Amino acid sequence: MPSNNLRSKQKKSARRYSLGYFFKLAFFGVFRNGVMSLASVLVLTSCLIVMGSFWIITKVVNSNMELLDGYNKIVAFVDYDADTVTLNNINDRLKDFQSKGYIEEYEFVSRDTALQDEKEKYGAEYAELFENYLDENPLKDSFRITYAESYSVQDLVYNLQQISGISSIYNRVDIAKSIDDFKNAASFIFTWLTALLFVVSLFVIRNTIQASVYVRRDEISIMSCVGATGFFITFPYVIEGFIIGTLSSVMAFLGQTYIHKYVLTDVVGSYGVIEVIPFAQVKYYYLLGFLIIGVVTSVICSMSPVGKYRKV
Amino acid sequence: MIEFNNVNKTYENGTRALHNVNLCIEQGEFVFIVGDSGAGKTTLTKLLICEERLSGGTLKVNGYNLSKIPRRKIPFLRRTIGMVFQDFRLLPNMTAAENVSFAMHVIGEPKKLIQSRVKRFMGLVGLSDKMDSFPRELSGGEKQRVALARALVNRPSVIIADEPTGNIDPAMSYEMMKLLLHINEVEKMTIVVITHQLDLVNTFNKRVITIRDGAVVSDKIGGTYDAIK
Repeated sequence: MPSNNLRSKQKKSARRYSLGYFFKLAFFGVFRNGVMSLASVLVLTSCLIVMGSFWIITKVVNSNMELLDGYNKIVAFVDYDADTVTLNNINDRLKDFQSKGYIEEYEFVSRDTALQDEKEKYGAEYAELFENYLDENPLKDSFRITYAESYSVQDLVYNLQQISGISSIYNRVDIAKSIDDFKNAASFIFTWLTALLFVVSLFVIRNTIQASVYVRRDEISIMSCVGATGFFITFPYVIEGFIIGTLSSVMAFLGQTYIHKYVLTDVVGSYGVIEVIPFAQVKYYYLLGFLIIGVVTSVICSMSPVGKYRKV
Repeated sequence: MIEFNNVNKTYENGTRALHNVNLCIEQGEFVFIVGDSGAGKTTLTKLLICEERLSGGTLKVNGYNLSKIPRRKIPFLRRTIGMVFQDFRLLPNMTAAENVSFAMHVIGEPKKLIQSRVKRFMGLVGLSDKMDSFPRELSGGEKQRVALARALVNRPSVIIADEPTGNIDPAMSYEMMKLLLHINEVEKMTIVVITHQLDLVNTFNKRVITIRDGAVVSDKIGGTYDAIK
């Protein structure tokens, strides 16, 4: 086995690796292989921007769908001449449905409140239309019910119809079901597209960085030949990956900021059809997401091809 | 010290590169290893630096048993061996001095030591005035001397020169051999030279090991061209 002198020399050497030297090597590597580094940064930046755009589109679609969630409401109208006992009885039955999970929430809307709501909805311009109804309100008392699951709503409607004192039921189950289906389909498609894009970008970045490592295969084999440890050979590439990842993430964040503020908000949002999520609300998600995905991806991609050339 | 005991090497495709090689090279010796192409010289070199693993037998190099050495210890074995290649293997974007210092940087030596050692070994190979030259600005002989300085700078106990004169002219080849002899005498390093150039072997009258078809067929101190034949 090696002599004690040799061993102590090895131990001393192992302690002398400085982080500064690794960073110097990494920066040197990034700039020396400028074209390949630039290619890696551009590929990663593009992938991150596309991923970020998919994510925000999914979020905007979902949030707009939530605005349409008024459709998952049922209005149960009470008999015009229903007394307090009848109302209490209906209330008890609804409470029972709520405890069983069929109903998320419900509220009682008196006929006076309903009339007032209608007046407010039409505004002062049409106030005179309601003057005839001041003495005799034609509207009925009602319960506005929000149901939990759209697939069980038919049963709920049937059960509500069986309650004594309920005269009619208004619901838009067909629309609610369509919205639910669209939401689920959109989430499914965007999730898989994002995942697919992530895998594709992993391959593209790995190949780009592999090409950059290939250019330096002689350097790696010489390092290995003169006794550099696996850590010493690989670590500068890890830092290089970190630099490329960070740079790409920052560039992707700037690009996404532009897309969100000027394309999504100013152009798409200006039509008033879609409500766009404000940039301030999601900017930290963008930054954090880009940094995590960008840095982790490029660090992993930087490490993997090095081993091949270490086997001198 | 290098010790081969019944060393065998068979590649995965079934090629038997070395069989029953028995050799002992003492510390401070100067040895030529000669043989035809495909005789097994390169395989022998690869086994010494653990680029290939043995198929059988035992091989000890500078206290490391290479039949049992774990992968994580291979870099430390390689620090005790300096390699000189026929194609120099210099990094084209580094100056001569940087190529030499690179070998010290990668094993984590301190800056001051690197500066003094690089200066000393560039002087030893006669290239003090070419420190800042890039490989493209050097002749073949000069490039090989830079490669030798790089092999020496970590003060290994063994230098293995694989066809060191293969890419340089005869006059330079002679100078290169003289330099290796000088290093052997002054630095007390073991020098193993693998070569085809039998005229050089005859001139220097050192120990000559001949390999043929993967076996050692001759091992003589003061070997000559005739002896090799």
